[in-house]
Amino acid sequence: MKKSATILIIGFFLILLFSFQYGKKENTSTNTAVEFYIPEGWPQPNYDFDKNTITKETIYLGRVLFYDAKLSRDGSTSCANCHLVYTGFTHVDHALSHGIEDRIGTRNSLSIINPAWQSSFMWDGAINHIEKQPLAPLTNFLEMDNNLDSLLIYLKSSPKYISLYEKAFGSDEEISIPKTSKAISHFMLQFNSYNSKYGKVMRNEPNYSFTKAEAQGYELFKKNCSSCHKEPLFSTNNFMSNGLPIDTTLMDGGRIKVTHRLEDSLLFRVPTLRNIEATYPYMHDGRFANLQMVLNHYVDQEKNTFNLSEELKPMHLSEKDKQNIILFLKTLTDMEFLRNKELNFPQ
Amino acid sequence: MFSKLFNLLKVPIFGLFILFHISLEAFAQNSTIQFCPTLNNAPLTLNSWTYIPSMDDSVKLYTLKCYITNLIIQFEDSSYYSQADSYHLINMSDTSSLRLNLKDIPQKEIASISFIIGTDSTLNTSGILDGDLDPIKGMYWTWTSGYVNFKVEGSCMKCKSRNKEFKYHIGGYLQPYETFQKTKLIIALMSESQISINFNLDEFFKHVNLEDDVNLMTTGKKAHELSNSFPSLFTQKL
Repeated sequence: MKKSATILIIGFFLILLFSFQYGKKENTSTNTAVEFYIPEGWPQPNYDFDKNTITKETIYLGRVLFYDAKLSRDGSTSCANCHLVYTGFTHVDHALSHGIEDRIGTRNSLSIINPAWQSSFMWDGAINHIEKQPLAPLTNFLEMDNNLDSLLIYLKSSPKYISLYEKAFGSDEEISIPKTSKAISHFMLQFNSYNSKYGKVMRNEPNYSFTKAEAQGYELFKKNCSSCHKEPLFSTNNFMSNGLPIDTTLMDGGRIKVTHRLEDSLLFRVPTLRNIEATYPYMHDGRFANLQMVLNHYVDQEKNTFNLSEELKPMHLSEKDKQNIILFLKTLTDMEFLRNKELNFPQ
Repeated sequence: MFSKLFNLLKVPIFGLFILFHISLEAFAQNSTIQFCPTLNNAPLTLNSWTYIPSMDDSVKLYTLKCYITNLIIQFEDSSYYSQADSYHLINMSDTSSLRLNLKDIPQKEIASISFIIGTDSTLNTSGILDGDLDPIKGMYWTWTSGYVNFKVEGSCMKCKSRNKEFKYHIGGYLQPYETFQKTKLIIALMSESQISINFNLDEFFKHVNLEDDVNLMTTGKKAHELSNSFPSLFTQKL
């Protein structure tokens, strides 16, 4: 009796065992998962960190890719060409950004600051997920002008990348476009800025307080600007028009390019004001060289009323008021972020 | 008393156990869905001229690619089989992609099959995806998030463009201009474990005017309107 009972039990467990072979493969690598820090009082990020494991290794691979000019067709232009850490991951002094062979683009490159909270990317929200975003400039004719097949050939022929991909994703899987784009996005998700003077004042850190002018500027900001530039991110995921007259040499309709809806014509994303001091010139076409010009537009100049966002109310500000707002905006500069060695060129 | 009962029943219990396991496999089978692209009522051959009477024009196709996703088989008894990870790129240049292999389908009579021609919103708004949805497949717009659901490229005699080429890249998921379409095919009685589906390009060309519109490579109203013809392209081949 005992023998046949034993066979039954063994048989039962054998069948159970076989049914588990279709279960998840355990990640046996020793990669270090990196936690995402959410500052106190901030909203939840948009990126699903529960679904995706970000590790030191995927971040490092993304960092190497971000600074590699060989990702462009002619080896001249890396992501960092337009997205420089010192200037809030945009570049300064260019109204319209330029790519390979001195090709001039159609818009001013956006800063990449706190992207985990964004639900879409680019001035018109054309990209709906950060993992897909790197592919846009990689393949844009005016930017890096590469194609995905050539890119893969380059990556797969590089011993350095073979080793980095193996460390990041394991040895039994090939280098692929999704892995490449993901790694770059993992690196971008580290571009977080919350240690500006403003941040320290808000957190009541000792030895940090606004000057009288900055404090006045903050009050004026809250009254006049925060309906669109909401704290703590100083932006929203919405698309608005702030009444910029159309540049007829560009004829840029903004969001309508993505949705084809007339009510989205001339709407652009509300960019963050964090580190704004370091990210001139301003607006989607870089038409304003400095913050003074921006404020002159909002306060004094005639607006294009087509699709003008109703959040934008007339502003009655004196020259002194404008200066104070600018002084407040300068408190959003975060030197720890702009000088962060971990976000700079890999050594 | 129990040990005596157990002694009596141990062999039949064990036997039933094995029989049950075997029987589960006997009631399942592997099936295939074979897509058969046709043009002018004949099997499509790439890179060869075909005269199409309804257009009074000849066309030569270089490329035909289309996403088939969310495959569900409905059985006569109202139960259904929903394919896991159901996204497939059928590509005329890769004949193996025209055959979908379905594993472990219950061996019951099939009433209908449903699928989506194209990729739905969920697939378009997720992170970056692999396999047939890998951007390397050339069916993904890098400049605006979204898949090209249906791609046909070729030449036509009446085309006035360079090399007489036309390109239709129909894609996009944002409402109201989404280009993915659900369809359901009622399946007539079949004896084999293969379902053949005609993929009839004639129906598509009825809705385009190649003389005037040679290229469509963006999202919007035109793409959406053309996608309305997608369900009519697929019929069961009897």
